[in-house]
Amino acid sequence: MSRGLRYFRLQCKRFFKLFLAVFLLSAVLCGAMGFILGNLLEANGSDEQKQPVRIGFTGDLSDSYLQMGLAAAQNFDSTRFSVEFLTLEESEARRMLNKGELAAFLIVPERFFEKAVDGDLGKLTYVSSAGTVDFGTKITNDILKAAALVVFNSQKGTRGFIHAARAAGTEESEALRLDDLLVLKFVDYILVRSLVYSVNEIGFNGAESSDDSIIYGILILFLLLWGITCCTVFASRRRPLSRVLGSKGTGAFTQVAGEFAAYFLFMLTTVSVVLAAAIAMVGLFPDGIGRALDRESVIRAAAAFILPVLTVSAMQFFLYEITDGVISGVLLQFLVAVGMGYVTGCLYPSYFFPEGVQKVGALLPSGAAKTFLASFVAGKVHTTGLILLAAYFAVFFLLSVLLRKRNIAAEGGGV
Amino acid sequence: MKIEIKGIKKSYGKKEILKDISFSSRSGKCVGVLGKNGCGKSTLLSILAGVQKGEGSFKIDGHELFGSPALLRRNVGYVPQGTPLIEELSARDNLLLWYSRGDMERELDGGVLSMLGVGSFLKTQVSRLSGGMKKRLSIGCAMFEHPPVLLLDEPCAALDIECKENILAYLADYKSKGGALILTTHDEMELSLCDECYIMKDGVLVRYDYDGDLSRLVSNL
Repeated sequence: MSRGLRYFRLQCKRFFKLFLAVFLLSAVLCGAMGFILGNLLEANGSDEQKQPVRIGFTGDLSDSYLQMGLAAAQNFDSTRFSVEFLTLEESEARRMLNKGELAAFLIVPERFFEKAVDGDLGKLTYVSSAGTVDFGTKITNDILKAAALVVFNSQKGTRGFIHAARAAGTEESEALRLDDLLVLKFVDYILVRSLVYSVNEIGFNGAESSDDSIIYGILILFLLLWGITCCTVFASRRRPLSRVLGSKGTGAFTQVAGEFAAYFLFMLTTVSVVLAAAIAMVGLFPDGIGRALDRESVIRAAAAFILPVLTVSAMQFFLYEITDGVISGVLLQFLVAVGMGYVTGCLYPSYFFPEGVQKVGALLPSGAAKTFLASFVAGKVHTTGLILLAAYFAVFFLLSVLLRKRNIAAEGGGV
Repeated sequence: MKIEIKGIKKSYGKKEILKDISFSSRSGKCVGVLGKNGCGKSTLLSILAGVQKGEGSFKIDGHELFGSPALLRRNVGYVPQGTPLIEELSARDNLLLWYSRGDMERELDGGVLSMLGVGSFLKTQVSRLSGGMKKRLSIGCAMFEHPPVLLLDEPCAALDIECKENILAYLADYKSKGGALILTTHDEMELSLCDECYIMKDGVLVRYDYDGDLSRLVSNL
């Protein structure tokens, strides 16, 4: 057996000897990730379990039709789980808005509906807070503004119809019949808001839903962070052995190849263990994680993981090759994992980021891994993702070899 | 066996570390290289071991070793400063990186490894071994092809007296059997093993006749 193979065999033995230590660290990481994933899936789960957005109605709410409409929307409409309407005083609404208890409120002007019947439409005032802006409230505000505008204008149009019909010389009875028809249609739509709109999730790359995006994001983040758990493996790697091996003809390339191959196998094994656990979870919790993942998807993900694991392992190996100690190694791994995970959309959906950031994120190793994984599970091969992953692997591997070469021939007899 | 080292030069950028280093030795002799920290002793050994590239010539019995890696590997053993071992594995696993199973058993049974006393801690994980045991194991690994020349970078650094005595006894035995030693040192006990001493200063090697007067030696460094 050549020394290169013997070195690989011993490195495998070394890595798997530390399996328990790494596995315990990984269990903590998995627990944290599982908790986050579970909560995210839960949040995306049934409408009943969502925290509703509260919208206040203030001003002149004396009109019986308005009260009937609000009561109907609150009790019968399918969106009642996501939007809660409250009728209250303006001062109370402002207080609640300031405390973040309301997303926004509407001020209905005096005799709004009576005037509307006469074709004299006042303006509804929409009040929202800019103090608690995050992506969610920003989107809610935008949607509400748009919705208020649509309701206001459509009602204006409905009310204006009777005037237009009369002006056009339509018989009064016919004009009233058509007006009633139009009003009933409008009320139908307003009361059943779900008929007015439908939500189509484009997801990322058109291949997955937001649930899938969360799952792949978490898996890639998990893979990125796994580098930290392996600090114990890389902590005791020292230069003297590299030097002696180098002096006996086992150069930087063979050393890095032996160590990396062992690390890759180790990573693949541990990821397989996690995925096996995921398969078991799918079976155990069909309404939880099983709702978002089916067994076939997980098996496909396991196959799809080989290339991302190869590339991410090469990157982690390279990062440990750059650093000289455990602390600096762990810090660098953490910063790269979190930074890359964030830009790639593993921590937060990337479609909220500026287009430039999204493009950069997609080109990063984590982005390429996420895209490749998603498309592979969807039954396609993302060629760009595949090429990017292969290119990153080659670059990280060669850079590791060059660094090892430099470290072997470094000045002095350092340890 | 005649060892000739001529015109070894090494620079890092504009900084000249080694300037035309030349000396000779032969089998059964030990050459000690002394000098302050950072003067280039370790660099000289790593060049002779083939770890780093440098200008010059390294001949054994007229055969040039630089430019002939296979010859260099066969003839020169190298024990660097620090521990060239895989800490998480046993002494046995570390030996198996260098020896075949059969060779290791043979050496443990009356060969180099038995002389170094490696058999007593064969199954122990390296991280649990003492500094002296690690050094003995490192030497054992370097001796896997019975090289006629052994390069040692401060072999007894940070070891207690008993450990030093064990290692020096082995090196004295190696020397008595015709091995040639080139070592860097700061240690008085190691100096007692040396037949010739050189002091490295400003990249130049100067011969020094060590007469046991340590204060004179220190003033010359």
